[in-house]
Amino acid sequence: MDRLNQALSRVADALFYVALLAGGLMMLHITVDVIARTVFHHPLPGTGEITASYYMIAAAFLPLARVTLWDEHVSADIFVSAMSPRSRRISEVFVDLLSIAYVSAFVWQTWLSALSKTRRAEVWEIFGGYLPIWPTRWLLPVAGVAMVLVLILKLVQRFTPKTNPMAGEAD
Amino acid sequence: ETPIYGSWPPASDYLNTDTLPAAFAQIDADTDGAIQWELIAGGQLSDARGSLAAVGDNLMQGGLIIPVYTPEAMPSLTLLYSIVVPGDDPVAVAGAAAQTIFLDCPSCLDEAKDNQALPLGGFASASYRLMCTRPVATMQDLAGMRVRATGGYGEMAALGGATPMSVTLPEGVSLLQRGGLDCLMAAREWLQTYGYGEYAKYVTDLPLGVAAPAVGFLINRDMFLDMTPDQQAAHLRASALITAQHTIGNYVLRDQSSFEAQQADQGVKLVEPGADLIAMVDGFAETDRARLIENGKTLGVADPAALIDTYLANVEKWRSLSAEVGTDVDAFAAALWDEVFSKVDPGAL
Amino acid sequence: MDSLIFGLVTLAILLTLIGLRTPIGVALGVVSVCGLAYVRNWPIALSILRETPFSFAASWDLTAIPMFLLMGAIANQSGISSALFRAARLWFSALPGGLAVAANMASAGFAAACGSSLASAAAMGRLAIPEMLRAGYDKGLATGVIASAGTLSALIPPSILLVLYGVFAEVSISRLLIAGVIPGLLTGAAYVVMIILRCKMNPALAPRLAATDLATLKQDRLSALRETWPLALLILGIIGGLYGGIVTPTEAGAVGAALALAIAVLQRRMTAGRLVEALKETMSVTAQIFFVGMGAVMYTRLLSLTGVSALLVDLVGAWAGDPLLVVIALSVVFLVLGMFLDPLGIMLITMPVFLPMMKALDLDLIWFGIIVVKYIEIGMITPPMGMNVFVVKSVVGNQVPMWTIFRGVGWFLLCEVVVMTLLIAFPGITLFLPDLMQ
Ligand code: NA
Ligand code: NA
Repeated sequence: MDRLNQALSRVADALFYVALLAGGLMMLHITVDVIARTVFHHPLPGTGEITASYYMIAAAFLPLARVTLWDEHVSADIFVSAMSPRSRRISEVFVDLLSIAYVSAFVWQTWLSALSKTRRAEVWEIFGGYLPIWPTRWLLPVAGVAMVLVLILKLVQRFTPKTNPMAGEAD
Repeated sequence: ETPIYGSWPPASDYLNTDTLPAAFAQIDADTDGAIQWELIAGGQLSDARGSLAAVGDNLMQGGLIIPVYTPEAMPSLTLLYSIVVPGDDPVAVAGAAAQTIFLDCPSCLDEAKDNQALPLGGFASASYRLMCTRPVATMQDLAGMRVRATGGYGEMAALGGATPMSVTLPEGVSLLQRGGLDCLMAAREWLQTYGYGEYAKYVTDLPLGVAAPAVGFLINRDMFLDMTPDQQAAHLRASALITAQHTIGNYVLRDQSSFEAQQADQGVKLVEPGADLIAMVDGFAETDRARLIENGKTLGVADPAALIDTYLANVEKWRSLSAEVGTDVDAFAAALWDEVFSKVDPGAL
Repeated sequence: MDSLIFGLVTLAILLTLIGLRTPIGVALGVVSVCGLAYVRNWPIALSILRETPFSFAASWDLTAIPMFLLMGAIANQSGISSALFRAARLWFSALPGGLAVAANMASAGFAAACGSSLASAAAMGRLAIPEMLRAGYDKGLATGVIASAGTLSALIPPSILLVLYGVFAEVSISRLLIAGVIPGLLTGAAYVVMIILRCKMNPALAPRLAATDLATLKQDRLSALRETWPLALLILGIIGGLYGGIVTPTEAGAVGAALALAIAVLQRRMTAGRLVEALKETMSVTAQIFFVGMGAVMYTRLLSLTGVSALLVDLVGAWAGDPLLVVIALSVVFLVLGMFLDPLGIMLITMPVFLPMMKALDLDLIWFGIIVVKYIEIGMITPPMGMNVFVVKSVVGNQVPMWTIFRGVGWFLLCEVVVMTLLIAFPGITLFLPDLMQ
């Protein structure tokens, strides 16, 4: 169990680090484009499109597994604090199952989308040519699968009380 | 039946206030109320890039698409709609585009089929013009200018020695205001619609050419095939009306009247073009042909050169029809019906 | 009437799920997909899950969200926030409640580099609260000022909430950002007046500094002020870039973050480790925002497809002789939602419903955006769910009970009553700067 936990947390971290890279590149690329067009009168073609379709997609989806692992999703707590421990437990399991179902559907659908866009070799028009978009379509199902696995792990851990869900993050 | 048209331009756009309501009223009348389209505007159902998929998926049954936004989805249409036709005759261009798509370009219809859609109601915009914060008359004036231009117009800007920039429309206004942008290549109507007239006060009096940027009535194909023949005919008639109404109403008449208003209210001025600039624009179509063919091949169009030639030949034919039509919306719709849609077999779409 | 009932049912299910601590993004998504399957069919319902997430996130406009976050994170990591508080402390300590005034002023200053009120409250809380508690300040005042002044960050540009509102409302983001300046400063000023008055009337709240201490403070004032040059440079750089036509408002985030990084490197305050920390904070919050955002977009699709949006517009049109009544009614809704929900959730749940109403009433959407963001920020300091208060609580740990923080915030909420009345009664306060810009 712990080993699984660790492996999963490593996957989540790896995806997260790619998102960090995307964030840094986003800052750099836009800044370099501004300088290039202001000083050298030569904007970098496709800056807006690359930023939107590559960096933003990585930034928006790749951290999801880690956000889930660390329980950082945006949520509110209206009834749960007033519940008995037993019904709280039931509600937690219900929420876990609902999340697993939703994110699984997300994986399934974005997978289909990635497949069909890849077959067609999806592109966007930029100055001087076309920018391939289909590769970033795959980031969605990949990020989604990692998130579902984390959710399943968390659910399993609710029934194996001794394990610390953050064990993999102890360091 | 109440199919839904999801429109991404704002509710105040001419498409949503005039063109579509007129077409939907006509369909309602032609089908004795059996089909009543509902318009949901402002991008609540889908954005511009997503509209093709949203119609194909049947989330909404009708929508506005710009083929160039999803080039690989419909390569032939994308190529057709990327061509900058010299001159200033949107009626001829819109008519030729309709004829080419429905009569002379089987791959156009096959591609639409692949997307579970039918590309009705395409329209052409007014000829783009060069609109700048300073007068631009010659190639020397244009050199080094930062110009907001997309697609073929971007290539034209580069050919003229300018720096083409691709900024979003609202960003363009703020850059123009602060001097980060010198010109834009756009329809004159944008001066008013997007508020460019306050800053881009010098319009070079030279039509840069007409592109056919939009399919105004893309509808779900299964829905169309499920209709009775009469209902299908009603939709083909609506297609002709949308093409005619939007091209003439918005891009001929409103383009002109809003420009006159800008001249009166904002002091927008016309700039007489120099001979070298005219020559550059005149020669652009020939120069751009190689790029278009190359792009067409990249996207997988079987014979791009033949498609371009067919389309341009149709434009020549429609130039004389356009002269007869003038600015008469009904006459244009009738011409589209006679020349194109009456010859279409709905069952084969 | 059918679609109204449908809309209310989806809303009830949504709120129930959220109440059970379902991640808001999941709750929005589940309700949207199931709602669509109910009114149409499953293939159509699943199609929005196929297309919406990518098309929502692949947005040039929304790049401002990660980049504004990054600018604030870098500014904090490089010590801009601590330099600010040091300077503010030296300058304002002589006033009644001086340290609280200083914390408030430093928060207002940091707001110009930071796009999120949570980040601002966390950064300033760590710096200022220990100092105030050491000086014997009332615990409610010490923590309340930090939680409340954090909200200035969402009004004084850059602001994530304003960018999100601008994207949903389709209004000019640069005008929106400028519009936040005066309401933000007004709120900060109201806080200052309240702190000074309270501490004057009840000096026990904030022990005055000894005369000798005050004398030493004065000596260091100028040098401390000089230490705030990085922030000044950052603000000047961004404003200069915008007004010089060098950057667009969207690019200002990325260029601002790069500028903050360059300044920090120049100061030798930036290490690779700190940059990674800043990026981690940024990217984690970005994904949280987008996970909720894509759910909200799907919910928008559901409401408009089922005619709920159009129906609400008609309803409002029917009885809205007085737009002021509508705004007051919306105020109540926002205050109630703000008690329970997360700021982002409120914004994204209410926009699809309220925006068409505002458009139908022909109310100014820039002004409305500022009102919405103000209410959302007020919601962040009201019990029982007050995100800013929770952040402050996590900073102070066991030293101060939660209830004491909420009590301390109460006085700031009184200021908000005055500020909101002014902003609603006189839209000119908000619109003065953006109108000047045109
Ligand atoms: Na801010
Ligand atoms: Na609250």
